[in-house]
Amino acid sequence: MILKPIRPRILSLQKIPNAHEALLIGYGANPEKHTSLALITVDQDDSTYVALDEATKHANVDVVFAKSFYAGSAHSSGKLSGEILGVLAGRDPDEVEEGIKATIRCLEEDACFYSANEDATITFFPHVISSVGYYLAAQTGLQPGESLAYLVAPPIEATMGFDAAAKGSNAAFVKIFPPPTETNFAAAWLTGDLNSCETAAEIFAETIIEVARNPKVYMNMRDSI
Amino acid sequence: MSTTSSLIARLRKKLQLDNRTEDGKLPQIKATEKSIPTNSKTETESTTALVGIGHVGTRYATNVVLQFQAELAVAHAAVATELDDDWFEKNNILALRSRVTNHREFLLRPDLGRRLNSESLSVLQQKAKKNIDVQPILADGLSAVATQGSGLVLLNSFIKECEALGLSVGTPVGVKFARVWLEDEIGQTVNARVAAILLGERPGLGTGDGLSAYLVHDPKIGNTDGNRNMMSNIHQRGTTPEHAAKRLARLAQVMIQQGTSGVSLDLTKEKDLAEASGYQYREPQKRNWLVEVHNDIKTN
Repeated sequence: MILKPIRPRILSLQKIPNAHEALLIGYGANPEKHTSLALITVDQDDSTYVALDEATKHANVDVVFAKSFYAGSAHSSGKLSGEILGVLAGRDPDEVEEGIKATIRCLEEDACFYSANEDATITFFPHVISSVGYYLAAQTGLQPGESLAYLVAPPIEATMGFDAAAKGSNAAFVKIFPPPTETNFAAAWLTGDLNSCETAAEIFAETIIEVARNPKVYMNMRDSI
Repeated sequence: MSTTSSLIARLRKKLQLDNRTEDGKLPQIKATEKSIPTNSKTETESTTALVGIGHVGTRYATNVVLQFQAELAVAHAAVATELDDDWFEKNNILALRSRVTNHREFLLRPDLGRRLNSESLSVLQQKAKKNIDVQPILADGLSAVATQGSGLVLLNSFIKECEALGLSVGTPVGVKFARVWLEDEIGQTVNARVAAILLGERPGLGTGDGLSAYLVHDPKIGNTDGNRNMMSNIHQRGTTPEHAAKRLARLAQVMIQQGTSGVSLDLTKEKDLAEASGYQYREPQKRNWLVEVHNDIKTN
């Protein structure tokens, strides 16, 4: 089925109410500011980046660590590893707990990949954030509250999709991550007003489905010459 | 919540995709399960106290903040309400006025609310019964809402209970723009042994309908709060007016017996005072939620 939501699976959730100072420093937290950590592993990295950003909108937490694992969840180091480890840091256990609730809510109800073909062997992420939180604002260089189209797909599909999205909408590229990324996908961030971001994501999604349907358009054309 | 799900739905329609899964249902984009655990409400349903209200991180949940604001608005509204000028006449109570001339002045000048204006003083001197045991006074105080609500019930029950105890009761008077200490001047003028003022109490969160009663023995200008005994929270969720009336009448009787009131009144001698209205079962009190919050987003 095409455009079927593929829900991220949370593989592990852990909390460290009073983390060791060295661990705080090692994972990018600031011992002056942070005491507690919440850790999460998920089988979808991009949904999780979005969900961690969501936490910064709901609680006074910082995303101090969030990294994708090489080759993605199909090749992970263990059944709890998935494709990303995210770490929220806050000044007390309640704060990170509230942050992680927002993250879970976002993963369960909002951000996810979608299938581009019937058997879901091609998946992509055409996500629109109407208002970015503090984490993605820092990552993208946008102001908190600006809109963002967060687009991810496998290499060739993504490349076609980025081009079509940028041409067909008023959204502008913030950054392109050409393949290979850690998970061997390609990604791009576009910004503009919310409407432009939605248009960009919609065109992106349509293009990915089109490429998935007709993977060898160019060859077909040459054959017909 | 992002806008992604709606754009996916749009795109599905546009591409005329077959959206049916094997069981013929449309795929769920939004999870229906609540992801936030909710605590049992049993405890909080047995009290009006602000307990078990939850928290979001180190902050109040939004519904609690909204409730707080709504309750504060109830209190503000009660303070801002003014008693109708003819309310006491309509209810056959001798109407008097303090020296206050308008509502704003009433709030800003407590001293003027503690004395009768000269016209009212002469009305009182001419029309009220003198040399009595108890002088009942009904007043607006800081909540005209409360006075108009259960003021008459409290006043009438109090008079009835006093008479049942064999006390002579003066002419009931009603005063607009009155403060507690006004009972001294009124009681002194009619030469009462005890003056009792029943008035709307300073509203708290969500309670704009509470009455208080202040009793003083040997009322005279110059008495202080140390000379008074009081009962607060006379409303349906606290002490009901009927029960309060029994206790207040007994209190007045005790004051006359001991010849004093306030700090020097020895309540330990009167073990039945608190039970004057008897014991009775009271239903658990429920908090009145002024703000509706949808369950899906209620976080406590």
